[in-house]
This record gives sequence, C-alpha cells and structure tokens, in this order.
Amino acid sequence: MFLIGLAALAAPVIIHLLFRRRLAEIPFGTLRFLRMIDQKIMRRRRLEELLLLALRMLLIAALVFALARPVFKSAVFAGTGHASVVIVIDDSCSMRALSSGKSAFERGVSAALEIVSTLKPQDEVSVILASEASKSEAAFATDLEKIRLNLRGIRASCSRADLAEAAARARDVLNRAGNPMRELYVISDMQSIAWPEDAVKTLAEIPRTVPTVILDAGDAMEPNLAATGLAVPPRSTREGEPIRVDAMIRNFSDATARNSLALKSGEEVLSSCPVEAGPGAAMTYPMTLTRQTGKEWLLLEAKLGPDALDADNSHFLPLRFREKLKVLLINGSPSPVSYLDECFFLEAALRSGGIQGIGRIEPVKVSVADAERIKTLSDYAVVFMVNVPGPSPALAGALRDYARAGGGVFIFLGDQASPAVYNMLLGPAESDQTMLPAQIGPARTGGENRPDAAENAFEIIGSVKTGHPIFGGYAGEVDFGRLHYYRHMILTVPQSERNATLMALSGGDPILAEKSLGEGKVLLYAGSADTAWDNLPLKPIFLPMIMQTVQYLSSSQAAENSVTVGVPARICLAQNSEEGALLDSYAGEAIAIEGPPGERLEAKGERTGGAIFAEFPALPMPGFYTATLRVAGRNIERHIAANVDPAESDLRRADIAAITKAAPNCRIVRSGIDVAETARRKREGLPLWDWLLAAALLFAAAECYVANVVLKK
Amino acid sequence: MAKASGTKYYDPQAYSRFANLNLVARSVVEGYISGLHRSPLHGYSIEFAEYREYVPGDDLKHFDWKVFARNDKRYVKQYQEETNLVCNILLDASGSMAYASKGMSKFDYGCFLAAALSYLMVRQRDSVGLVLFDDAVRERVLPRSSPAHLKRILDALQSSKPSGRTGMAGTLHAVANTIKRRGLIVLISDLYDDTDAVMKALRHFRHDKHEMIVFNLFDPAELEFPFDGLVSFRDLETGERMQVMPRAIREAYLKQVEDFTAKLKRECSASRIDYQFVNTSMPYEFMLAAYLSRRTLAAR
Repeated sequence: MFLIGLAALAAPVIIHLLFRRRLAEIPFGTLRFLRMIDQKIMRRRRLEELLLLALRMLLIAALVFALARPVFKSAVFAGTGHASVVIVIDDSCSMRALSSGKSAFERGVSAALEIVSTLKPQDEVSVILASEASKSEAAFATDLEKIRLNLRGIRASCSRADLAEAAARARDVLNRAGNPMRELYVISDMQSIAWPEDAVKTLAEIPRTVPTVILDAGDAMEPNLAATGLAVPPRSTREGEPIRVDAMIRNFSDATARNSLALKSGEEVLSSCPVEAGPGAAMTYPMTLTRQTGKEWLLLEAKLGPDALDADNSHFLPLRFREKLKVLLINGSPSPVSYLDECFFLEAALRSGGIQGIGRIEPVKVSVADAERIKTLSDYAVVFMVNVPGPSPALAGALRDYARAGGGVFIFLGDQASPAVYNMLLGPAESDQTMLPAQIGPARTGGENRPDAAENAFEIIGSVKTGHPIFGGYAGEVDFGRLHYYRHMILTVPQSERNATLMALSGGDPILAEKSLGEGKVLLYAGSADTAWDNLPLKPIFLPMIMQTVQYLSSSQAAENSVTVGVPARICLAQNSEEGALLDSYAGEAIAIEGPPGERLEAKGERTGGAIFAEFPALPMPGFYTATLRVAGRNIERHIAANVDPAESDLRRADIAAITKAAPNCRIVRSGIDVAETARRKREGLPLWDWLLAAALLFAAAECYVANVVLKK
Repeated sequence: MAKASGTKYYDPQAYSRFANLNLVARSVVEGYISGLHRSPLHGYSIEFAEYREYVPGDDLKHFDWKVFARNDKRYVKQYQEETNLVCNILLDASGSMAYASKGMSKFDYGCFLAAALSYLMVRQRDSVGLVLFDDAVRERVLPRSSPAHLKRILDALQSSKPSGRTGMAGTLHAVANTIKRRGLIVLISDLYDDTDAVMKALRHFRHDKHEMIVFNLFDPAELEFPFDGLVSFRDLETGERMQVMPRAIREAYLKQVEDFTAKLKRECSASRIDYQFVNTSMPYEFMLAAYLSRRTLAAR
C-alpha cells in the first residue's frame, strides 16, 4: 500500500513531463528580443519552476509517508519485548508546595499514573518513594491495576528525600530487570537540596540503553514563609514573670512575604502578631506567655497562616517546667566570711532566679572532702569546681564518669589550683578519654608578656567564639573589652575536634576552653571565680553567662525535646538529676510513642550513666509525640516535638542546565503528558506522521505561494 | 485600373479612404514628365520660381514685359519644372514577415500596403516599382506608371510567399546601387536585422539623394507579448526554438522592443528618413490615410 502511495510521488514528474510534451509551440517573428533578455531572469524563473516541482513532489511524498504512519525507532528500541519500568517519586515535604491550586506531588503522581497507563500487560513496574528509598525493598510488580491503586494512595511525606539513595536503588533494581526494555523515570519538584551531586552522578552512570526521564513537577517559587524555630532564651526569670518565647520565621522566597503568626498551646492562642519578611530574611519574633501554676508541660506551637507550603507553617516546642535544677559547687577555697568565699559571686548568680524553660536553680555547695563522699554526681545537672587545689583520684574518676554519661563540669582555677595535679588526674588534654580541655601551665600575671607593663597591669579579652551557646541570647552587645585579667593560668589547648578555645586574652593565652567527653561537656576557666585574678564576676556579662553555661552544660543530659521529621534520633528521655534513683531500675523495656492521630510507634530504650536514652525511629508527621517510659511500675511521660526540616522549606530550584550537563543521558520534561508521551515513544518509537502531515501542510502553503505569487510576479 | 481587379491585394473599397490624397515627394525627385513633384531642372513649366536678369539670347516669350514697362528693367521669368516621381517599393519577404498572431500576417499587410501605394502612384501618374527581397532580391518589377503596370505589381505580390532569412542590409545596398535616378524609396519591413547595418543601408539611399519612407511593421502580439504559461517559441526564419515563461519576461521583452523601435526612430530621424511605426492590428487603409494626411500637412 505504501509502495502504491510512494508511486504517487512520480505524479508531479509525470505531469511535468506531460506538460512539457504538450508545451505550446508558437511560431514567432524573431527570437532576437528574447535572446537579449537578461539570462539571470530566465535562470531564476527556471529555478522557481524547479522549486515548484520540488514542492509538489515533497507535498505528495509527505502525504504518502504520513499515510504509512511511520515511527522512528532508535537503536535502543529496535527490538520488541516487554518493559521494566522504575518510577522514582520524590515524596519530600517540598513536594507538598502548592502551585495553581495543585501540589507538585499531585502532579507527580498523575505523571506516574500516565506512565503506568502506557504499559502493557506483562510489563513490570517498581515504584520507589525517595523518602523511603533506604528502608523498603524495591521490587518489580506486574499487576498494573494494583500499582495504580497504590499510586493513588501514596501521600507526600513531611521529611527530606534522599534522591541519591533512590537513584542508586533504582539503578540496582534496573540491573535485576528481566525485560529487554528498561526505563527509569524520576519525578521530582527539582528542589535544589533534593538534587545533590551524588544523585545526578548516579543517574549519569545509568547506561544509555536505559532511557532516563526526569519529570520536573515543580513550578515557579511562590512566597513561602516557614516557622523554623521556637526557643526559650536561657535567661534568668523570677516566679510569676512572663516568659519570653522567640519564634523564628524565615522567608524562603524571592519576594517580601506577609503573614500572621500565632503562638498556640493546643487550640488556645497565647500570643499573635503580623509577620513581614523580606526576600530570604530570617526574623525572630519575641512572644510572651505566662506560666500556669501546677502545669508541668506547655506544648507550644508557632503557627503561620496558609501559604505555598503549609507543612512548614508550624513549629512545635514542648516546654517543661521543673521545680528545681540542682547544681553542685565544689568549693576549694571556702571562707567563713561570705563575701570572701570563692563561690560567693557564683552562688549569688545561681540563686538570682530560675532559667526560662528550665526552672529554678538550686546550688549545693560542698567542700572538696564532702564532694568525694557524694555517691552519684548524676543527681546534679552541673558540677562547678571552684579553685579546687586538685581532685582526688576518686573524685577525678567520678567526675570523668559523670561527664562521659552526659554531665556538665565547669572548672574555675585560682590560686589554690595545682596545675600538676589537674594535668595528672584529669589530663592529658590531648586524650579523648580524659576530661581536661587544656593542659594547665603556671600562673601568669597580666603584664608579664610586656616589659613596659606597669604594676597591676592586666590583659583584656582578645578573641571570643561568639557563636557559642554560652555567649548567645544577650539582650545587647557584650563589651568583652571591659574584662580585666590580672592573673591567669596558662592553658594550652590541643588541636582537636573535641577541644576548643572559647575565649582568649589579648596576649593570645586561652582563658576559657571546652572539651566534649562522651555525652558530656567540660569547660575550663583559667581565671578565678572571685575577683582575685579578674573582674569577670563584677561585670554584667557574668550573670547571663553563668545562666547560659548552666543551660548549656545541663542540656547534654537534660531530656531532649525536639526531633526532625523523618530522621531517626537518639534522645535522652530522663536522667537521674530529674528522676533520682528511680531510673536505676530500668531494664530496657520498650518505650511507647504516641503521636498525631493514628501514629503509634515503639522505641528501644537504653540506660547510659545516669540517663535513659531512646532510639526513636523516624517520626512521620510533624507535631507532638508522647513517649511513655515504664520504670518500676511507674509511667514517666515525656513530650517530644517533631518538626519539619527547615531545609525543605527552601523551594529554590536546582540548576536544570547543570543537571542536564552532568547527566546528558537524562531527558528532562515538564508535564505528565510529556512524560507519558515520552514513555510511549521510547517504547513504540516516535510517530512521524503528525510531523509529516504538518510538513505536507507547509509544502502545500509554500506551493500555493510559489505558484500564485512568485511565479506571477 | 480595372485590369487590376480580382487580385488579392487590390481593394478599391479600401482605397476610397485615401482617394483624395496624394503621396508627394518632399524632396526633389527626377521624373520624365511633368507631374506633382518638384523637378531639379528649372525649365519653363507651370510653377513660377524666380526672376532672372535678361541676357541676350534668352527666349523672349519668358521676358516679363510688365516689369520692363513699369521699371524699365529687363527680366525673364523662370519656372520650376514639376515632374513625375519614380517610386520603388521594397517589400521584405523574409520568414519573419509571415508571422500573424491572428488574421493578417505582416507580409500580407505589407502586400496590401505596397498595392495601395502602387495604386496611389499610378493614379498620380508616377512610376512605381517593386522589389521583393529576403536575403537577396527575390523579384523585381521595374518602375512604370501605366495602369497595366499596377497589375504586374499586384501579380508579383500575390505570387510571393514569405520565407527565408532576412539579409536586409546587403540586399538594400545592392538595390541602392541599381537605382540611378533620385526618387522615392518605400521600405516595408519588420527590420529584424542588425539595426546598425540596416541604418547604414538606408543611409546609402539617402546618400544617393533618394527620399525614404520606412514602414516598420509589427504584429500586435510582437508588441504586447500576450502569451501565458510555458511557451516554446519557434523562430520563423531560423527554426530555432526557445522555451520561456512569457509572464516572467514580458516586461523585459517589451523594453527590448521599445528600445529597438526607439533606436530606429532616432536614427531615421537623424538621417531624415520618414519612419512610420505600424501596428498591423490597424487596418492598412486607415494607417495609410492617416500617414498621408500627416505627410501632406507636414509638406505645407
């Protein structure tokens, strides 16, 4: 049939020849004038005639070929057979972002359904959800109806997606595919953080024999504000005073966004305010609440009004009010005169009030000898060693165990402290098994480094690691330059990830060093806790710094209260300092977790030191979860907040050109129809008839133009 | 005249259109007898020319006694002699003259024209001759003025068919060499030859003091080029074929024709040759009547 049609191609030629044969021959007086006419005109006209003939032939050829319904098949799909198709769906939180009333995830699922609709019986499909790529075993299924049902049932997660892992899993699954035709489709909103280099690299490694199509289900970024944090600044507060809660808001879009913010506890709105943030701006909105007496827990939610991505509009924080926080002061230089006591300023600071969100601090001051008799340091949130000459081996061991288990130790040196004893019993500083943050050297006076130094010469602060939590949360700028150091001990902080210098003097000597040991932390201060060596206790910074230090050091063993959705976490649920010896009887019973409606999970528990840690699985939804720990017949309940990873709020799109360049084997399409059409064409070949018909129309139009306009000129 | 009736190109009805017109030579021509035309010889004919002072021996019959009586001066009258005209009609009978888009071919038109002119001449008692030529003189009828001679001319016209190539220039030179007496030369042709050569030949006639009239014949199709579609033109003289799209070249063609006629007209004017552009779509009698009227007016 096609050949018959092809024979029609000869029609214009035949017509042309017949036309030539029947060409009118006119006797004419002379051809002299015709010969004199510019030959260019004649040549051009002849070319135009040939063009017309060619157009007519092309028109017929295009029609004939179109009627033959040809398809273009690449070498990859030259053969026939069934297809093994892997569909990777990015189900990260960002896929929930709405555009034109529809989420990227909905568009993605529609595209996946379109792809499945192109398959034939005995084709096999594997659907991999990127957020679960590492958890579930991907396998092929041939029941297309069931696959469609499953696809309609899936929902976007609130967690991050690991497209690199998903791509690797897809590659492995394709390697196991049994059908001759193998295809990979990756459906994503092309969010920038969802496309790490690893993911692109893995896709680039997929052989060219496996057509790889990326469906860009995303859309232009719309205004998106996210509640990224909720925190109670660690500042001292007195009973009955309003508590300040800072709500952190960030605008992840390129335009100024306006919204409203409410601080809620359950359905009760505690505080609210309008929100306006410029492009990319991170804003902190201070809000206040009043503690309700008798209530141990306050479940706070910072809630923004609706926008492009609703999942990140809430941030949750469980706030626990404890009656007291015990802090141990080991006094190395006691004095019957209170103001001459080494702990005078420290104790006064600690007794000045409670800490927001923690509660009242109860300092317990003991002598070195008494300290050695304390059986369980884990009853205390923080241990301060103040001008202790040198811990006994027993106390040193107890302190080391305490710190390893999550305890916080702050060491103030002074005129009584013996560097040699410290270095021997708590060092060496280089070891990751010891608790000394720095090697302690002899004392040095303020002007010792300078030959021209006068009497009472002092050094000032030269550098401060201002980003450290103990320096955070001040209301205003801190003038560290007003701190005078007349004498200090020389610290040598080893270069190590565990050791860090937090403050150093202008001469370069470290004055405050930190070390992480196990679950705990140790801070070493090279000055004194009183005013003998420096004026720190007299300066305004002293009080907030001590409060934040307590907050910081106690946080390692305090119950954690927040996890990121979709990320497994090890959480300290309870510690001796809160529950006393009760926890000693914990024998590893499973911890029940109950969350937003319908979410019931279980976690493994483990007693480490004076605390119980729970291995939380990845929590699926943002909100409050209640972990119930049963110890000695008693239920200990803890509230944990699960919050969306703020990175998911950043809807900036990946560099498509870079992906195309890095993975040239991948074809990026925009719509589900495109991807289904691409799938069909990849499988069945590229239908050419529509193009041919279009070409025929084009040739017809051109023929009309040449015949009626060009040749009639 | 009656003797000429019955021949193809003799059309007395048409001749009535210019029955009251004469073809008068503008320049001086030499004839044998007195007639319409000015003779170069100042004899004693009818037309007074000038006075001349009497010299002894002059014929007293031309002595002007009246002047002598009034002024006592002796003058004799001189008269310009009128003579008859010798007209040679040169008719192009080459193949190109056979072209006729519809109806009458250029050659037929030329024949009718030649017959009419011959009739006119004979009616004026002038001598008229005919030369039929293509690339050589095909037939020649020597000038005579008798009505019977007209019949000979008509017969010569009727027996001729256009054919062969035009070798006009050489032929005209040859004809010019054979005509000794000054007279009127009427050339009827499409002039499809090398224009410069043709003009040179025409100037040859002018050099020999002949008065020249050129009737340049064109078929209307040659002037309008009304063809359409793809056409293969065949040259009537050479048989050569050329395939063209007339629509495409019409403009250029018409420009060529215009240039051709313009050049002829310009060159003829420069050589004092009476050039008459003739579209054969116009009946020859009308054309001739108009021409003669115009010529007569110009002569005054």
